[in-house]
Amino acid sequence: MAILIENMVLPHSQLRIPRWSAPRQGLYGIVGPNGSGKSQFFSVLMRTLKPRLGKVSIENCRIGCVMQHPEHQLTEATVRDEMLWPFSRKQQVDHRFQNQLADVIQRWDLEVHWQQSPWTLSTGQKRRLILAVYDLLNPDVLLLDEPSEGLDGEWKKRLATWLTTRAGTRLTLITSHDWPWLLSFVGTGFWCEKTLDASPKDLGQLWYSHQLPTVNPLEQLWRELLNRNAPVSWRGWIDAEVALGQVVTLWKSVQNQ
Amino acid sequence: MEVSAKSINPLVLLQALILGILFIFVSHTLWVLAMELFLLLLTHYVLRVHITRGEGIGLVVGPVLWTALAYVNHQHGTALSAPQDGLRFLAALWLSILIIHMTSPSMMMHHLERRFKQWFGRRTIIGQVALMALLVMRYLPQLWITAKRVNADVRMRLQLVGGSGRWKDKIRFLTPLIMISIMHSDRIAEAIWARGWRPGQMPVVAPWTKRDTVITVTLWTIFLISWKALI
Amino acid sequence: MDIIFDHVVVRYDTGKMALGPVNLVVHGGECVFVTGPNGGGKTTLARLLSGILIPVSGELRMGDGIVRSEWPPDYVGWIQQEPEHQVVGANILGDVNLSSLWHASSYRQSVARTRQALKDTGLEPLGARAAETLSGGELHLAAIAAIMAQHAQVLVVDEPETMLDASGQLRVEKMLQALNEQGKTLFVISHNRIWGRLADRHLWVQDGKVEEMDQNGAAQRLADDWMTFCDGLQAITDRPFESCEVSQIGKLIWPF
Repeated sequence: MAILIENMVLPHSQLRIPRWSAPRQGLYGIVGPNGSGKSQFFSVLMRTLKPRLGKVSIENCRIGCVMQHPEHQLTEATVRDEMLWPFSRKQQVDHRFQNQLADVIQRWDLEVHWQQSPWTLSTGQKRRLILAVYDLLNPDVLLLDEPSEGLDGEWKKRLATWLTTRAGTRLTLITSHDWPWLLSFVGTGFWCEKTLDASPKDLGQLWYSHQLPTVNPLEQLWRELLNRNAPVSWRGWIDAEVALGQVVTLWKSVQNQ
Repeated sequence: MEVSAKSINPLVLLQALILGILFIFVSHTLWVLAMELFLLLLTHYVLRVHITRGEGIGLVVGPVLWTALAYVNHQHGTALSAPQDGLRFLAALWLSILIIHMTSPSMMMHHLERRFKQWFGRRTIIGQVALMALLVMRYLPQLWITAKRVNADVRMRLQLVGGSGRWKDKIRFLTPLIMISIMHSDRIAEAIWARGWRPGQMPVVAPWTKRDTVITVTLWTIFLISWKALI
Repeated sequence: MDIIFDHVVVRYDTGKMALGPVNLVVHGGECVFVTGPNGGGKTTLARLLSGILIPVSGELRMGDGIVRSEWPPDYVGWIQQEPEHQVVGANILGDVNLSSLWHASSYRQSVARTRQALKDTGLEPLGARAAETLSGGELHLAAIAAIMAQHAQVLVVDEPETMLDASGQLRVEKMLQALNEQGKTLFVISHNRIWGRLADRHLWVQDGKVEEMDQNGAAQRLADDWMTFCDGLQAITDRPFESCEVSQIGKLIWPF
């Protein structure tokens, strides 16, 4: 499997990628401000967008994508057909496939919706359906565009757990504005703003070093503490309990001095 | 909208478009056609119009196809008539592209809506037709992009199972297109109403100027004289 | 101008109660933060204010007695959760222009409105971009620009954080603050209490019922991370905070 991008310029966002080579496997964030070209980058990998300039080489690579709008991936009358249409009848009766299918249905809690039209599902349920489709198809490279949108807290946790367990066997690239969710399970990421970084960096460091303005007070407090060199971790703010633990330790150390 | 002529009233440009296309399609003399193409080239460079890649491809592919169709039909019976038809199509397409670069079609629509409402009263049907035209301009490209995304998904799924696909896979994009159109139409209608659109309201557009009158009169004079002299 | 909800009741087509009865007076120029669980009736309240829904009983009217159906078409601006339905122009400039040419009283004014809205939202460089090529966040800002050009007196903003990154959210927050200072009435609907800091009043909407409470009451009901953090810190440090100010807490725990 090899994905190599050289001297590429994308239309509209004007994102430039001098050279980017996909890692073999692992979980990576593709992060940056609105309109920087993250979704367009995925479109190039899916071959739905031609770059304005440059070369994209994708070899021996089985790619799957969960798009930002799950409606763009629903073509069938029932959830069952949506899951099964790519597979031949012969593949469907295979015992191993049946077991895999049962696992996937259980993982994404789709049994109750099995005969339902995908169009009658809520946004979160539609997204779970498409995640289940690509779980079953098991690609080498999985692209996820804002996958946490429409999912509640419990499902966001379950998605993070599933992605983490598969990190050793596939490459997963995730774009998301949901920093706390992304930081909770993704170690490194590529920064995307005018240009896409060639090598991944710690996601916590990316969050801190790019000084994105924020409206979350816990995030503001953390940035203030880090700016004043307080000994707290980059990711402490994503969970109120963890944050409290770190801050109390800090406070006690100050009291003892 | 990179051209300096953008302040010309869109209705003047609409007239130029209609008269121009009419003239191009009735001019069967080769030298008149050559002159039309030269004038288009001159306008293109004087106004410094930058055409998009898609428009450029259209300007090449469209006339070639038109020539082929004209040749197959043998309407004029001579070998030269088919390329001449193709060139005429090229001229009409080029003129349309130049006009669209000078003003947006939606601006033409707003001006037309206002004019019709002035002439026939604030009839609901006029407002509705204008809005429909606006929605077509907005959502047709959107549907095209949706179809591309659905096809990409279908292609990826087939690749992942190692299948080559059946004829049915080529038209899978139709279901989401229809469902998205149905499901979104209510919400679009709500949004437009909430934005304060009403069928009877009069859009505020740039006023007609003396310069527009002068250009319109000149346009018609040139058209009528050329028609009389050349056609 | 005040907005009066007088025993307003809204039902779904099935006859089930969607909202109400609501009795509420919102004074002109107030900023109201509307929050509560999913499906509780918040968006129904937005649709009611926008004139999409009509109450089955009761009355929504202005302080001078004019009922909702007779309000001027541009009186209420509704910034929706899903901007792709709201942006109906072929490109950003065309879409913002629509609001101006539908509602301005002269051409000169319509040009000025469009220009100002694009400037305030930072979308001037993207004016010619076709709507279908915009990212979710850009589309959301375009929808906001169009509503700004409408010059509505009442703004209903539904989940402004959905598609925007932090920079976009800050920009929207500043714009809403400026509009409120100009005397516009704002209804900000969100699960995220950060928007509550703009507000003069806080409403909790659940099971169709509207309950007014103070800022802390709404925040605590939202089981917000920041409130949990502040409460926990107060308990452990035994230092009552006057307010949960970031800088105050920052200095307390790391005064160097």
